[in-house]
Amino acid sequence: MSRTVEEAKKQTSQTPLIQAWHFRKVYFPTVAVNDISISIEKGDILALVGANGAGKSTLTKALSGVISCDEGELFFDGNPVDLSAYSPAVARRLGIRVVHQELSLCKNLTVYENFYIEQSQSIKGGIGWRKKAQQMAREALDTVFPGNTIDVTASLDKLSIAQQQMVEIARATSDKNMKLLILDEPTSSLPAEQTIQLQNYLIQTGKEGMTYIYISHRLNEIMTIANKVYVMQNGCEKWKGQITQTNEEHMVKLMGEGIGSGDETTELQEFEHPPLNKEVSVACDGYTTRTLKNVKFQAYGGQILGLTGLEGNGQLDLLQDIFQKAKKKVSGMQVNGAVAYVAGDRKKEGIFPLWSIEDNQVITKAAKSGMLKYLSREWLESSVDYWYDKLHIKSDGKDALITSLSGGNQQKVLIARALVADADIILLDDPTRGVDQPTKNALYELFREAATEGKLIIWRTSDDAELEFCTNLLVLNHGEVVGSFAGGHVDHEKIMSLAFENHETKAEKEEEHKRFHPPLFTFALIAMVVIYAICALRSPLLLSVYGVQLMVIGFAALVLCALSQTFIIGLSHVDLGVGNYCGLINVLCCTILFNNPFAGFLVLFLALLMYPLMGYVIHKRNVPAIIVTLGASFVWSGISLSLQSMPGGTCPAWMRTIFYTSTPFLNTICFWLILFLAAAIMVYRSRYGTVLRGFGNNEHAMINSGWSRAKAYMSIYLLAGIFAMLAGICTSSINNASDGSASSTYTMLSVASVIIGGGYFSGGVVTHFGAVCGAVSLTMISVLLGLLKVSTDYTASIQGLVLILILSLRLIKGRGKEA
Amino acid sequence: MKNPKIKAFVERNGSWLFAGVGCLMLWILMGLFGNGISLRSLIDNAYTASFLAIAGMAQMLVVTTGRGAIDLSIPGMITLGAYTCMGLCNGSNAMILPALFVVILEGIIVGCLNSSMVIYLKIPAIIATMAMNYMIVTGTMLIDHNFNVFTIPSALKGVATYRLLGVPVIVVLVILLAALIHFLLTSTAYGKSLLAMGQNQEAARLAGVPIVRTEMITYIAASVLSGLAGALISARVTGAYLGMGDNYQMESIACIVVGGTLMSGGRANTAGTLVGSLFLYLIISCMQLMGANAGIQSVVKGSLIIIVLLIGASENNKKREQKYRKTIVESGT
Repeated sequence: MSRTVEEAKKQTSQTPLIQAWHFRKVYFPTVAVNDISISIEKGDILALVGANGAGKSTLTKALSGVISCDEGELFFDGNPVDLSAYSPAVARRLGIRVVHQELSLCKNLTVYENFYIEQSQSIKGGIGWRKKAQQMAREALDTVFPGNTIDVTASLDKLSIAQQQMVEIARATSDKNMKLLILDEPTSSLPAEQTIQLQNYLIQTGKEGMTYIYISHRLNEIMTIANKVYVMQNGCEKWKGQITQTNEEHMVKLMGEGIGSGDETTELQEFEHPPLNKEVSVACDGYTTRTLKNVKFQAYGGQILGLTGLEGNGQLDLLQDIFQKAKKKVSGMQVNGAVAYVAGDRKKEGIFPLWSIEDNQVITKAAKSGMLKYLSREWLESSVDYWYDKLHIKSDGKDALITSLSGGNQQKVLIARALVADADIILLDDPTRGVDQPTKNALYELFREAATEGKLIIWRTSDDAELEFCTNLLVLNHGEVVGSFAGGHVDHEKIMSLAFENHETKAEKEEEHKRFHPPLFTFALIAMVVIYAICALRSPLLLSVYGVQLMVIGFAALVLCALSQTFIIGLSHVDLGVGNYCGLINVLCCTILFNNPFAGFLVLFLALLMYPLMGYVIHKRNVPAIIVTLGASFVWSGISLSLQSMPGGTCPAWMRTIFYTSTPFLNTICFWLILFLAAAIMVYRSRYGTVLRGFGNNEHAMINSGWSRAKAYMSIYLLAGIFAMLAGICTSSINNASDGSASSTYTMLSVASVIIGGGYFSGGVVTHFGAVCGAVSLTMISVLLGLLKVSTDYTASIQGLVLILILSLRLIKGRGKEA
Repeated sequence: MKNPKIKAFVERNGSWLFAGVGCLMLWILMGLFGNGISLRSLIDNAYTASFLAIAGMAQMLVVTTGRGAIDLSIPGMITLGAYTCMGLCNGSNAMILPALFVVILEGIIVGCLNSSMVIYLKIPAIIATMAMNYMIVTGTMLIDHNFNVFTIPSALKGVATYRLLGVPVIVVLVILLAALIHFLLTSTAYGKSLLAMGQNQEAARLAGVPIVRTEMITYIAASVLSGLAGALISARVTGAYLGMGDNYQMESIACIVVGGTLMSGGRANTAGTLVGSLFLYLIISCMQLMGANAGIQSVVKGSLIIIVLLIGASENNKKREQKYRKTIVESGT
């Protein structure tokens, strides 16, 4: 080791910014990183190059503290770093930041809130933090991507993927303390213009002394920006040197040598275009949808049809439509032949993670063969074996879990899935994204073989180099086919000019798109007002102060349970015990607290602690919240039942005085409810509340930003516990007696309230105000039915119908995303 | 565990084995508190548990469709099934088959409506089935006012209570039903489709899985099973009464959880569901023998559900950790 140190010192007089010596990381039986030593000077842009599974990401994760390495030493700015206590938080303190391949943003938060959760240390001050975060976001985005049109107050899920990627990059660069930035495939979803802006920014700041590690499969980018190259293979160092000492061909050769069966690395053979197979065809004649305009083309078996153009110009829509409408008769499109789809985003829409390679491979064929088809062992094997062997899928056998494969091999399984099903038309959605060159070449070869067999391949690609492998091309622009090419010759300039034509009009369209989005709670609010209005029509008393009070008494407990549930659903959990908990608190107040205030307070305090305890258990053991709370609901009702077998008890007088006393204007319960709602909203909007919302959407990102999951879970469950307890206290005050089982219906009603109020079960999208409106609506429905003198036989079913009606309205409004 | 075969079996069957061991312990415990360990007590509990097992399997099918789906209309369907069967039979054996036919028809309608709400109106299953449950109550009430629901046809009572060589017929029937469902899930295209959509609906759609059909069949099967369970339960408890299915709401979820079915969908365990339902009833019997009141029974039951979950999770966590590490390597592009 000393020799290398001396060497390193000889090369330069200044201390390197970061030095890693003999890094080694083993994931038995794979050696992911094997004895890697790397040294980076201030101002370097080091390109880290290698095939899939070469260990690049593992190395960067070890450098940034996301994983701990087994052996090695790390020096930062000349000082040794204690690797045993190394973590993302320590790395950040040193000034090392990472833009990960998977976006680490919270989609339920706004752009500036995303800046805040990552940069909380540099946004001081209580009230004005939102303004400061907005300013910081604006500045960072404008610095890296001048002229961008991103609205920093917009919610992140309103942004395109490319814009999200821009936010992610800009967010990392906004750290004033940053000394080294690691970019893992930052340009994979960036448009050309932004890619160039990013490159300029990196080169510019590199000159000013900022240091970068840049990982990309796009070698031309590396040639443009990097000054040093480090090539990895199978976890080992393969080559390192200055950019001037290498070129694209050289790097490809370095990466590919010794991988796979050898012939995969050689240049692909010239491809003879196979004869057309007219039995298989896709013909569009004036096909028009919301995103596609007057699409006309014909494609036949034996062709490889490439769809190109700038991202988001209708290529994906065309591909999806061909798949979806293959069997249906649609005007303007005719498809002859069985269709199979190969997804590009493997994790999200490709693999079935609980299954083996074999099951993953055979599912399309199985699904096609009729619901009651018996799938025998022999049938499975005869279906799977041929393609499994032919594709050289690298695995521990076809019974191994698909998740044990590398990305490229997973992709092979997905393509095999289409081939096993013997589809005539194979639709490829950018299948080679993030796949290394040798595997890519193997896949190209496979597509050509399929075409030779008379199949039609339709291929959406984001990598222009792949257009060379298509026999025919369609260029799409704003959903229109603006160019179509046949034959192997690709004129990139012509394609680019066609793709970029009229691009300004698109920007206008986007502006137009930014129309007003009604807040989530709109429907719940409308429903509440409408139902209340109808009630008031039947009984004008409801418009008086007295009438309002009467209603408030009816829905107070459910409203508080709904507020409690909102916190839990905001974390993408569900609390199945809130109703029984409310009942338990009711019983505790009216029995123990009434008889012995001291013991009562103690017991209530212990009961409150149960909630953060549940949160901690769920965090610690990674168990589903729905089951923990279900188990807890049995416990709550059991305790209530043991304390009080029949309804009864008395509420302490002081409690009634506080929560349920008539004042000249309104009963105190009304004030309390408004206060509690305001408190819930304020908590969620506060600085730490923003963090808690972030946890509902993207836990990993929050943990990587240095927030504690345990603390977040416990905080959210504590908040939920407080509101559930308040529900129990209000019930006691209003009823002046207790009944443990009476509140049990609140569990499901509170869930319904949150969903009616515009909330979704996952993704951390909830509103407290909406939940309250939902709870009020649900209560008012039964009041309304009573007023209308509907027979009690029908009350329940009308309640159910109204519930469905309100939720269906949400769909019509176009918010029909999965809740 | 030295034997690799046993190890593989344990790994494949995961948490319900713990519940199985739990059952064994409870049975022994019961023997110690009661009149000695006897097969009879186990069979008695299996008998009571078999009704829950049917509801549990219905719940399991729906939960397996994924995205947090739960069928909350199961209690309603149980009650409706009971009322329909009792009401139409009015004690006559000849009417049993027509009555069961009507129950199945109701199940098909309810299942169709449930799945349509989930598929076409995109209402989350929890809410859709909860609303459905409300609507079913109306149907039950109408029957309640117009039919006699307390005379049980003798043949149905026979099926629900008859013992062959000491083994209740119903237990055998439920085990056969479980075997059928297990076969459907593991070895048919329907099962593969269901498990695929439960893991990742979008991926299943793109892989050509007929999602709408699969989901509809699943909801219909669940509702039909619940309705038939209701008919059997009413035969056992001598009549139908309002709210008779309500206990099955949470218990059907509890028994599949104990049985190792994934709440997030995509993995079902039929054998586990049987063991899970037995486990829940053994707890009750054990507590009753010890003289605990209903409140304490409930507390113990709730705690044990959580404990079984935690024990199962500690095994899974180890596996998940390994998998997580592996995925890091893989994403190491």
